[in-house]
Amino acid sequence: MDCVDIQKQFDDLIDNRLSAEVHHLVDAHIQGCITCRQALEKERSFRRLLRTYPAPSARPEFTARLITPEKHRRPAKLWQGFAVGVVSTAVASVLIFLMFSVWLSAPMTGKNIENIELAVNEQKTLNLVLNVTQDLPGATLSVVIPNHIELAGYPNQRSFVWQENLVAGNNVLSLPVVAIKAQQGQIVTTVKHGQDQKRFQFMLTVISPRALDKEQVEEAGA
Amino acid sequence: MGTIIELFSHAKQRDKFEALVTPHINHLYRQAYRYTGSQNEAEDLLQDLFLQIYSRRKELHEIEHLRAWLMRSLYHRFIDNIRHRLHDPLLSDVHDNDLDNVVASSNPEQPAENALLHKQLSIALNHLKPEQRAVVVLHDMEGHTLEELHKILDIPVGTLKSRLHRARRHLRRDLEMEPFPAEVRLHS
Repeated sequence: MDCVDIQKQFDDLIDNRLSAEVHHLVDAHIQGCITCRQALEKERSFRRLLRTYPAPSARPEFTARLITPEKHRRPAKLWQGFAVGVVSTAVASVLIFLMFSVWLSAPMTGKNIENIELAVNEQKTLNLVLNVTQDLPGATLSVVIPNHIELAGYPNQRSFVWQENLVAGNNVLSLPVVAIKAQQGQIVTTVKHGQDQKRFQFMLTVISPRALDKEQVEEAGA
Repeated sequence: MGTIIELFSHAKQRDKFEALVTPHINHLYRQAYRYTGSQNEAEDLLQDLFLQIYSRRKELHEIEHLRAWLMRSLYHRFIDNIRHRLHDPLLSDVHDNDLDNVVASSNPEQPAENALLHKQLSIALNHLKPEQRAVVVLHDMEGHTLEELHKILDIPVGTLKSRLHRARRHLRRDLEMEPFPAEVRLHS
């Protein structure tokens, strides 16, 4: 083997991938050849440089955000088949027809309301039905919430924007809200697809415990 | 026909997800950092990956070798991102200046000479094809064998070896660390 042949074996030599026979030949050459010894040392330095290439650990706040992926960029989009018995009254000339229906998940299923009342610290899931007349792939949804409520699991986040593939018919957006303080404000939702945009909103009133007590007293009196 | 958009996942599902993936985060982050050469890009890459796997979190507990599966997912995500970037004129510029703080910030006790070499290495890595860069990271930096990488990435050993060979050749040239003088190399 000459120096050129030896050079070709350097990768496998350092990676311990040479057969015993070739390893012996290469070793023998290197022992007697100062050029190859120096070249091998240079190659080992190159490998050492690669091996010691630094990489820091992840920042703790980044790690914390990472394990709750829906928190940091856009809400997780998880779709399930869902049959809703709500009749759509689509208007043929309008590309997007939003049947803006809001109902509280447990006691008032199916009843459309436009003003919702919650007590401070109360959590309820609001289901928004978006009825569209045709599939809307890649529609942009946005939800903006007022200061007196939070979406469960999203503290201090007031606006959410993400893309969804809406299908013809009813699409239900579930919003678990937590009442923070007694106040009134609107939740504004926008659906955008191409040049078309539809915005809809509803009022959400948070009542203080004192106001609730008063109501209960009045009801009892009546 | 309708669909439901679940904006929020159940807390228990999140806890399970957290327990499964947390032991692997630092390992994946360091890999992402070496793939991309910057903290911001490593975080973006990992965020993309976790958004993707979070949507499949119910399947994760069935995966036998989760770390290897995550490494493979990260590898593909990295390759896809780079290809996407190459086709996007707004993202296609390689900013070597972005690498200015790559090495300097990682180890203040590192000798200045090594820090300089590592900075040069960062720039040289950025000029490699993503597939070549990934195999250098996994083999030469993290110490995985070609056989392990074959199992993890499902890429033939021969392909991996040739990518590694080409990558090293480019790096040696860029770093002026070729083992032989030019007259010897001419014969090879």
